[in-house]
Amino acid sequence: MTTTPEPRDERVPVTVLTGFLGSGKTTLLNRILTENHGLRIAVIENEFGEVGIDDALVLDAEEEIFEMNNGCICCTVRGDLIRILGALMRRREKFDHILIETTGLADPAPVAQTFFMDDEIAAQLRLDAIVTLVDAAHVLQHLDEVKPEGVENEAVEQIAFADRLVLNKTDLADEETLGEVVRRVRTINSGVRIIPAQHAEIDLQQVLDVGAFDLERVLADDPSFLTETEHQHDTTVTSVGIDLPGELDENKLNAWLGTLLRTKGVDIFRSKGILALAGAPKQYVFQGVHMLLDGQFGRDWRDGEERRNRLVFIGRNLDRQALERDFAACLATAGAVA
Amino acid sequence: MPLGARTPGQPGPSPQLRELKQTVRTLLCLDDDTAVMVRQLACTEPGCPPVETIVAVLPMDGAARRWTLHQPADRITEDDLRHALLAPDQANHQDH
Repeated sequence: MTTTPEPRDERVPVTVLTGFLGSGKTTLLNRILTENHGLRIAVIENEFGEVGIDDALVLDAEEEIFEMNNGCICCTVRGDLIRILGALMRRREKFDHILIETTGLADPAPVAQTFFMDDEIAAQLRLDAIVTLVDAAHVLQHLDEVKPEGVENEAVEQIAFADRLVLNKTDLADEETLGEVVRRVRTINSGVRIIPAQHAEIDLQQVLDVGAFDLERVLADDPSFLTETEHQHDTTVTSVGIDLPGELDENKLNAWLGTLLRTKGVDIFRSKGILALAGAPKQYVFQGVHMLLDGQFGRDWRDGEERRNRLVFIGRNLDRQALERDFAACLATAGAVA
Repeated sequence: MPLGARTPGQPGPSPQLRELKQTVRTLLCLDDDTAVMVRQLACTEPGCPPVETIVAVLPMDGAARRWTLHQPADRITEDDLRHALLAPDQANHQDH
């Protein structure tokens, strides 16, 4: 059996660190910068003056939301990051990894969208993972905070966007609270990997260069990633995972996905998928943030490997039945007369 | 091509997009530190063409500027850019 070597992604990995004030972000960041992991990390921080590492490349940035399109949240990016990342890439040889520490109240969407909006950034940098820290003792009150109409609950969004969730300060919460926190986190983002911690002491390999935006790698590490979705009806932000054998008609897929993202993109925070397109010898791998998608053909389908489609949506007011039904209608065999 | 797909074997922006960015730099006499983005987006406004192309210029110091051209990126010519970028008061400024 011959297989084409799988392409190696040479882009610089970027980790985004989010979490409320007091969740332990700076403690974790200082650990990342001082621990001997062999990586040269460039840090972009929005919270000033808290990191004091002499030989680290630390850049301060003031959060700047830039609208590419008036009023469309799907088209907002972080102007400060675009400027700084452009400058950093001209010093590419000085670091191996970029870490962005956001402010406690930052919306993760514009940060993530920055890596999808510009071809040059997408060609040189890959969003490795969004790591969200939560304070186990206080996160429930943040999740339950009632916001005025039209104002997002940042705690919910930070959990919804997370690939890794560091459940910090577990020593300050009782078992019942910890259980409830995990349950609430899972209803929002069923696939997120939860890392319990005290004083942000975690194995850094769980958060650095983890390829969390790479669904294939995620599924290799956790085959149940897509099937752990719980049918919760008491929350507006949930996950929907779909696992469907068969091959897709590209035109039907484009029509469905295009319409879905155009009409529901505001509510779809994250999407990831590995798809089998009819006639394509390789897997099609995509990831998205709101309306923006980035996809490419990945590895070859192996001899004897079942062609199947796996994708996950995390978002607000997701209609599971409609997503499953409409996606199934994209199969090449859908609608064919028996 | 499936939706969202990057052109196979092409690590960076398409030659056409790179050319548009360079034209923007030339027309506005931008330095290397200034970030230039050109992005085609679906437009959801009623009555608008289905796609529009956004040109954004973000200097290291100073306000970011943005222009909207109501046509697909691959149809934009140097003349279109000159007309849009150099016309007075056509830019949308965003303070930072």
